Amino acid sequence: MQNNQHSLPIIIFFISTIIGVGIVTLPRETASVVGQPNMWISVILGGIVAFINALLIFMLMKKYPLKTVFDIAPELVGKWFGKLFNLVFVCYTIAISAYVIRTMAEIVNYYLLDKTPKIVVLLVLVLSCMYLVSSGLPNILLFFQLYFPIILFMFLLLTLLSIKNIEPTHLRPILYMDGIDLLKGVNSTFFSFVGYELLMVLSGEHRLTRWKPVASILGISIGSVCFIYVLFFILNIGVLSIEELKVITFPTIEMAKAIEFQGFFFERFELLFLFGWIITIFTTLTAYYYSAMLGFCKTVNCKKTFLINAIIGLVILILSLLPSGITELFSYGTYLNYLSYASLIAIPLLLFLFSFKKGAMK
Amino acid sequence: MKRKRFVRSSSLVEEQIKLEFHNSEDLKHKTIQLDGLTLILLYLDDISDRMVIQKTILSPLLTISKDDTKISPTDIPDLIPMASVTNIEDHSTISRHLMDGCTVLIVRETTDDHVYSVKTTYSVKRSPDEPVNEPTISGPRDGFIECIQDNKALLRTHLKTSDLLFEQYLVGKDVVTSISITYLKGKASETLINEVRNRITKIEVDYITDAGVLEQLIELNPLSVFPELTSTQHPTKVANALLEGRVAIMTDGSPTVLVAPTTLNMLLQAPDDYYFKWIPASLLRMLSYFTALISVLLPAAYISLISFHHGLIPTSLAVSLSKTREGVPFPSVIEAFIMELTIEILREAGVRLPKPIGSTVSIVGAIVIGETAVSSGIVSPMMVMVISFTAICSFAIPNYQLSLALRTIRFFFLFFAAMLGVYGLLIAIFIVTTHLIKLRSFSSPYMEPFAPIHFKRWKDSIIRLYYRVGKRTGI
Repeated sequence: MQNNQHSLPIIIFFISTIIGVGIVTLPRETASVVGQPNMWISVILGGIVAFINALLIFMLMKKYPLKTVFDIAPELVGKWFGKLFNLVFVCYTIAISAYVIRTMAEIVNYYLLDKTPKIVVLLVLVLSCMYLVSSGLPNILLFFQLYFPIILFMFLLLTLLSIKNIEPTHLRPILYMDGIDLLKGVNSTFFSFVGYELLMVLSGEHRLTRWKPVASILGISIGSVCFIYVLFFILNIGVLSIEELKVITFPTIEMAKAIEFQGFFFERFELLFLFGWIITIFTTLTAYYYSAMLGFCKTVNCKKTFLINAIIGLVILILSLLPSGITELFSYGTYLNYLSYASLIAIPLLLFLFSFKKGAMK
Repeated sequence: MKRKRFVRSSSLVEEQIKLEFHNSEDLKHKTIQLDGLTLILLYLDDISDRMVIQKTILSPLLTISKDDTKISPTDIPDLIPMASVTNIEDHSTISRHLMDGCTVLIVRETTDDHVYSVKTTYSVKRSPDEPVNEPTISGPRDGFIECIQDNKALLRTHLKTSDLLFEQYLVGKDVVTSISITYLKGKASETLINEVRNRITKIEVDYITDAGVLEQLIELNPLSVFPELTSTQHPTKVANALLEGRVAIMTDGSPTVLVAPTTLNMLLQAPDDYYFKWIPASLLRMLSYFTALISVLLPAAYISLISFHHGLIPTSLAVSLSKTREGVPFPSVIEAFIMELTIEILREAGVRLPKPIGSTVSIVGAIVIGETAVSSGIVSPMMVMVISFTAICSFAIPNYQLSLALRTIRFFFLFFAAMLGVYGLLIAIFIVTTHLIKLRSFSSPYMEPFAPIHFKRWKDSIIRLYYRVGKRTGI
């Protein structure tokens, strides 16, 4: 556990899970709340909040080595309340999966396949993900490792190509602080860090009990995601300016579109970005899909069969097809945030408090 | 059943053997009387060297018979000036010795039989030439041949170490083939060797004709198109693999040696990579990765760009592309399938035909079909270019089995790209990589060192760093 060889796959797992929809929609969301060029400070603050939350979750999981949240909830708060907690968490993971893939479908429809029905776009994605999920957690970790260098390379390339387009005037005034607005922004930036809560699921197969390695795993993963977000925020603001950010639906893709690189085989770089970004969506989906399946199986006490896998996939697919358009999708996003509060903060906190009570009773 | 009865029977051994060979004409039988002893020689005429039999068995024995010294049956091996004289205790193995080209010498003293086998093999072999499908530019040019003894000898000459071990196994119910598990003691892990042993002993089959058959019998993923074992005919390649701690499996009668465990990275390496300086060698490595990617993805990417995303192609290129596609009656997918099919047929025809006619096929294929198909407007010139470039890229892949696998999945990608464009292509990539991630070759992950990620081992993957030479890191 202590050595690098063991923690690297977990760091990669977290980074691949956390980066997803956020990188495309977050600049707009934050711009509409904060509306100033140094809104990337909100991202850092959001990262810090996420890190503290992650440490809380770790403090809970530390007491129960090699157990997932689905195992300890019935143990701590009684069988039926535990099952309720589990179901909330499962609903949360399914909802996140559905939200993420629906956003992707919108983007795919907008930029790549304008006539293909969403159900086809989503069906092939869920089916291919089902195949990966059915192969188990070790293989999922391997899959993330395979794509991790590709994702990093893509982000790096996009950054290098975009630097040329930055208008320094867009970034001014530098470090002008409006504290209250920045704090308001944390509310939305915090949610683009979700993914670390799968520590509660990952702890089932990895012995994550010692402070130093786990804190460094969480620190490195949330820190690097934070770095990538800040980088893309600065690029976004620099290339598009705050005013444009507020109105563009998917600013990062527009930013990639703005890249012009004459004399190469293709001039348009949003394809390159979309390629990398769909990979991150797929990894996010896989992580949550797997957690949903595991949670469901643990709650109703059954084996991880193909049938369960297919049912979860079907639920995700149906849920993702529910919103009629992009506006409705984003309003669902706010409901999702409440569910996130419940699963990210309420459940771990309650379980943590109950664990003290249980300890005292013994 | 038959064999068991044979062991217990105390009747004349030579009669039993003759019966087992159905009185075949090439089973020769010669009886010599040597004061009190009866010597019976049995050998299969065509695979035993008659000159050797005469020089080493007959003439020494016949000259002795003129002397008056008393000889006992146990002295007989000492009288034969041959290194390899073995005493056969189990009479059921006599027929195997005969089939190996040995001469079986039965010494009979009233009722007691002593059976010896003398190695007098004579077989037609080709010389260890350079393997046809794995040519190298520099480095050793010898290749394995069909005889397992010679192959072992070749390997010994390349690996002069006492750690090199061969374990012999006999496989096959009707026709027995000897298979040899080869490894370096101390380098290969015991668990790996045990797994190979297990899989070989579990084989239940009538006979094995080639290492390719053996490969299919011991692999665990029959549904996968990717080779689970590397097959090679290069002794140096096997020697390198053994030094890395891998295990080689040799099959008698086949010039192909299987190496396990295999990774995708290993299949994309050519032995040449190690003989050149590291910078050009690294570039060659990158090239072989690049060609592998191109040979899988290029037609699919072209199809998806042409039929879904015109906007992503630079305008000037898009204009010239649409001009060349003018008048082509099929959608680009059908066009691509037609061309792919033509290329595959041409390639197979080239393989099956004798060499002098093979070049005719390529002329007919390239000039007549390619040129006229374009000028008659059935396919667009760009499509011909894409498909032929893909074919050339797949020729550049060092391992034939891998190139075959990539040729197969190319159609899978083509299908997805035709349905859903670039997005479909990406989904197809996800599915194939999931499959590759799940794949295990003798319990080790197929995509190593990329997944599980081992940055230290990347120095011998896409690139080949200089300190790799002469120092092997093992698997």
